[in-house]
Amino acid sequence: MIDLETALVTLPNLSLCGTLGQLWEPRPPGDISLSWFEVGVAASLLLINAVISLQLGLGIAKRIATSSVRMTIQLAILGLILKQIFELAQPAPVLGLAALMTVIAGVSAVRRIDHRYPSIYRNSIFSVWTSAWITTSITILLIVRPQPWYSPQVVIPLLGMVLGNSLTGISLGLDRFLSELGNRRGEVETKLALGATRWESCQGIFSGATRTAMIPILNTMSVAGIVSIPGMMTGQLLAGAEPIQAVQYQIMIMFVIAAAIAIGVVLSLSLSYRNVTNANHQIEWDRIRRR
Amino acid sequence: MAMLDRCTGEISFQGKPIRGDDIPAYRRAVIYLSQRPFFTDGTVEENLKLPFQFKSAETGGTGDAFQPDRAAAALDAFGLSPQILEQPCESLSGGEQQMVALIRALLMEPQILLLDEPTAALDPDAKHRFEQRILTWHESTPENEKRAFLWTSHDPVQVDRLTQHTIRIHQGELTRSSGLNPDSPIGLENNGPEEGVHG
Repeated sequence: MIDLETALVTLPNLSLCGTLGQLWEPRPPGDISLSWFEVGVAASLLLINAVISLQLGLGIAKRIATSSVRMTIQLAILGLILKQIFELAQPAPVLGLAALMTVIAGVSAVRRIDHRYPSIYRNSIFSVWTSAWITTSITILLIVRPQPWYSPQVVIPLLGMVLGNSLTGISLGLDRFLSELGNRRGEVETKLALGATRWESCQGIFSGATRTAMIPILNTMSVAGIVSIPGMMTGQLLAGAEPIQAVQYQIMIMFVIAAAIAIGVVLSLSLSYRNVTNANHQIEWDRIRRR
Repeated sequence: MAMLDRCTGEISFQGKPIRGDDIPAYRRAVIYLSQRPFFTDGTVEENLKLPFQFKSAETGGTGDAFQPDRAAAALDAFGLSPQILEQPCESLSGGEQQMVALIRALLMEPQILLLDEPTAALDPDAKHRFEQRILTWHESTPENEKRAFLWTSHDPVQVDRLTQHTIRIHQGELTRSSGLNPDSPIGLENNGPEEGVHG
């Protein structure tokens, strides 16, 4: 969710009055506002991608173009929505946007999965919702404590980061769980036939899927600060924050994100496990369908 | 009959309807052996121990714990060396794998074996040894126990050779069945293409 954070830092300051003359002049210290013209300079870098794709015949020139346009439109809309909500500064629209983001995250988590079962969307939305809202609430009410508590410039980007990571974890975990269940059907059925309970027959697959889902955040945590400066910290540094303060925020959000992923993954896998097994210690194979 | 698939109706075992949490223990007494055996990654010994790690093994019977000497004796009865205990399961031949799967089931001391074309992929010699082992197991039923097996096969000669009662299923329909006695082995013979042979 780097884009969200960066958008948050930059969009409110965007001005439409960029000119070529401005481009070469040094900026006054502390001014980080970009003009649309300057954004356009960055967009022209996309030509490099297009040239590479055409030269090597990658056949992704069209996809590069559409994803760029999508990204621009999505972020522009987000900027406009955030601008409205920041100006309103009322709890209801903040919570409304938060709820909408949560539902979209729950749906997107399922969209990347190859195998489905009937109630997978409901389970995914519930898991994203529970994990992200518990952890974000703790962050806002006990750690950041903004005034007022629903301050959109705190709530929305924090929730966005948590949601983005939780949805990736849930998506990876569910995908792994359902595909492994299908791939290892013989093993699962053999265990059941030899007297395993439904949990004993799926336990290995369940823990494997949990591990898979946790790998990205563990990798991110282990290289943070060495290979990359994480998104939120980048944003804060650009906005002029003290490095130590930016680091404290980044460490805090990493823990929050890791907790959200763990809760979301275990919750979504538990619900899925209950949905594809039954009380007679059987696996409901026909409920699992390939997309 | 091993209640692995969702089905309508009810199964009673030893006068008791089987449902919910009775099922894992029921599946230990009525073991289903698939046509193709499956093993977890690991050695033969680890796979033979697998069923004894499940909660349903804690019933207080002799089939509750893995006993290495019984495993070795069971291998010996098949003419297999105890050294294969250390080998990974995937290194075994198809016939050896099917025998290890049978040994794993027998070590659990089941009362009924559900055999789903167990020798379909075996060579004649392995097939013979497998059949003999099943017959020996059935003949050596202790006095206070009952043992039975159900064998599905496409081979009518094999069914007649092994079983006392036959149910023929032809294109999904039951075409002949001989008098059923709950104490006797039942052969399920399937003449048509692969339909509903799961017993």
